[in-house]
Parts: sequence; C-alpha cells; structure tokens
Amino acid sequence: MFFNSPAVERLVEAFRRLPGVGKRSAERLALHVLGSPEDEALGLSEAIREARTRIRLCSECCNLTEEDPCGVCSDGRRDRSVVCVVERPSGAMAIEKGGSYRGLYHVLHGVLNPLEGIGPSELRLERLMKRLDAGSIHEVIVATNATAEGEATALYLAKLIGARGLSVTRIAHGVPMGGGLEFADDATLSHALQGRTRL
Amino acid sequence: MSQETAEGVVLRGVDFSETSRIVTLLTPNRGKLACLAKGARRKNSRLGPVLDTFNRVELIYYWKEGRQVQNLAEASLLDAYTPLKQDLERSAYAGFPLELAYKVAHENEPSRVIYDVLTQGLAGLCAWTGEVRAHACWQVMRLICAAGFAPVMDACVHCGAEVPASPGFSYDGGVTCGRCRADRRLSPAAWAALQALGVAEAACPRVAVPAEVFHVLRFYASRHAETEFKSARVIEEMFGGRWSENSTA
Repeated sequence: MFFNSPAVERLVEAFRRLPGVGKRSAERLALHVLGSPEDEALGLSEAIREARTRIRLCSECCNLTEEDPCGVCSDGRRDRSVVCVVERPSGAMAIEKGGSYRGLYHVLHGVLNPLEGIGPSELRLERLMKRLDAGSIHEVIVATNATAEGEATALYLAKLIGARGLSVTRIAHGVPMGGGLEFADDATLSHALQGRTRL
Repeated sequence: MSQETAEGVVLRGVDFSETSRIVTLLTPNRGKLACLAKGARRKNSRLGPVLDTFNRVELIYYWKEGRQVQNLAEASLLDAYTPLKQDLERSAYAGFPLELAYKVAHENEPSRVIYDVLTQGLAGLCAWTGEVRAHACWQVMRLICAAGFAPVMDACVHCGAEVPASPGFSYDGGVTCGRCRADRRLSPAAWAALQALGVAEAACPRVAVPAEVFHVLRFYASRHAETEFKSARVIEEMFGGRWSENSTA
C-alpha cells in the first residue's frame, strides 16, 4: 500500500480473505469503502454484523436461516417423506429456484475429500441420521456435485442410509437442457449414456 | 511465452473467482504444474468436468518461466478412472497415493517415474479384484521408491545385521534387528506383506496386507516427506484399521 496506515492494512487484509479477492482487488475495495460516504460504509459493516449474528444453522436441516426451524422445515405443505441432501446451502437454493421439488433438504456443509482431510466426522451427518431414525422419511435424494468428491460422498451416504432400509436415489447427470451433444465433454457424455432412461 | 502440450493427472483443484478454477496436475516433464482454467466453473464449460480429481488428461497450456500458475488453453480427457470413482473404498484409498505424489513431486522438474507409477497404479486399482488396501499399500510403496526414499528391507538399517521373523521398523530408514532402536515392532504377517510389496514392481502381489502395513507406510512416508497425510487419516477414519503405536504384534 502506498500509505502507511494499520487501519487500512487491516481492511485490505479482511477483504483479501474473501474468495476470489486478490491483493489488488482488496486494495481497490478498501479504497472504494474509504471513498464512499460514511453512512454507506458503516451500513456495509452493520449489514455484515447483522447477518453474521442473526443467521444460524437450522437445527433440522442445517441450512442457513434466520428463524429456527427454517422456512422449509416449518412449512406444513412440504412433502416430509423425502429429503434432498446437498453439499452447501447454495445447492438447496439452486434446487429451490428450479421450483419442481417440494420435499425437505439436508445440508452437509462439505463433501468427503480425503486429500483435504475431510472425512465423515467433518460433515453434518449425525443430524441427518437422527432425522432418518425418526421414521417419517422414506426416500433420500443425494444431490452432491458430479465430482470425484461428490460421488464418493454419495456412495458413502448410500452405504450408511441403505443399511437403514430406506430408499436412496441420486440425481441424474448428463447433457444440460438446451445443450448440443457436440458441445458436451467426454465425461458428461459417458455419464449421460450410463444414466439413460427408457422412453 | 510458449504453448506446450502435456499429459497430466489432476491432483487437486481450488475454485478461483466466480467462474475459474486452479488445478494442480502431475506431468511427466514439468512435474507438478498449476494451471488456471478460466471459465471452468461455468455451467456450459467443457473444461470443468474434464478437470475432476484423478482424471488423466491431455492439456495445452501457455508456459511462462517464473509464473507460478500457468494459463490453461485446452484439456481433453484421456482416462476418468470411472471404476475407481464408482467405488467408495477404491476412491478413498486412491487419495493416499495421489496426496503422496502431490507432496513428493516438485514444480518444473521432470517426474516421469512418479507419473508412471501413479497412472499405472490408478489404472491397476480400477481393475483390481483383491483387497483394496493391499493395492493402495503397493502403490504407496512404489511411489516411496520412485521418490528416492525406499526403506531398507534386506538387513538392519542401523547395523546391517540379519533381521528376525518379527523385526523392528524405524521410520527413519527401514527394518531393524531386535537390538537396534526401532519405532515399532512388525508382526510376522506385516513383515511378510512389506517384503512382498517391496519386490513387486510390475503389479500388486496377491498377499494379505494387515492394517498395520498401511499404518507403517503412512508414518514412514510422513517422516520422509516431512508432512502429515490427511488422506491416510480419513481412510483410517472411514475403514477402521487404526493401529496404535503401542500395539504389539
């Protein structure tokens, strides 16, 4: 930084911790905050503080929520016999945006990743197993990403939940809607062929 | 800046910005190579699925000396090792050799032997019908040898004396006789398995490999690579086989 101020350095460092923000972007953001009106800058810090203190994990599904249980878990119109397991809250948001799913969710907050030292104990599995043991859930849809780690997590869940005699299904992988076959990569096409359905 | 083509195995990847990803690959000529795959996280990107962990790919990148992360231009899939990814035990155990390769390979340094051992091991694990742990231990042993820190197995590493049926094992260098200092004592079954794994170069031998062997290799590799292996800890958590340092044969 071209001027010596511990406060500015702290601000730059704080921005640098955000995903996808490098040193230059952090400096640019810091300068923007410093150059903006005081109420706007303080409003940003207040919004962060408020969100951080009010948002917590739903005690049922482990999704982010302001109320506990969350809106989905407390909605009596949802199908309570199906749970969709996702890696992160963004996964639940994406499925919810699709509008065709009316069941419940469970957020793992990660996937099995031995290379990063993430094992089953680092995931929110205990809460999921308690929900399943309660008895009202009949199907678990595993909607982890189509990556090696997501696939390993799905297999682990299938083993764990299958032992309880419940139905475990996996979301389909393949060619996206509106996508041409010539633009699909080899791995996606291979998955699409494996997961073909009878017409 | 020049354009280069290489074959590589995806060792790991981290998201970078909203749409891109930085992947680290093991290549035969450039060793460990970090590449920025711009747009790999976009919905319709052809790069994203190709750059999944474990995948063997052909890549075209722009090489610039002194740059830590090179720019990836293209990547196409050579082998996704699908049978490995469709089996929980195989995919978890394969993480250990992958992490070991990541730790022992250097950037911009030819790593042909390590690369060959890794790819042959991954392909072998896909077709392997025996105990998964045995194959993983064999591949780890081969990688340890390829990295240049093979354990001494034919005589005591400290005094050169003959080793008994249940020798000691020193994580500093290999087996020990009953009299010299050792980190642990090997059971006869573990010693037999280690010997079989040590001499089998072409393919994994069909021998019973006790959990103790996995544990020994984990700590031996840790001592020499000077790092903890997170994957080994997770494997032990998932499949048991924890072996206390105080256990006796």
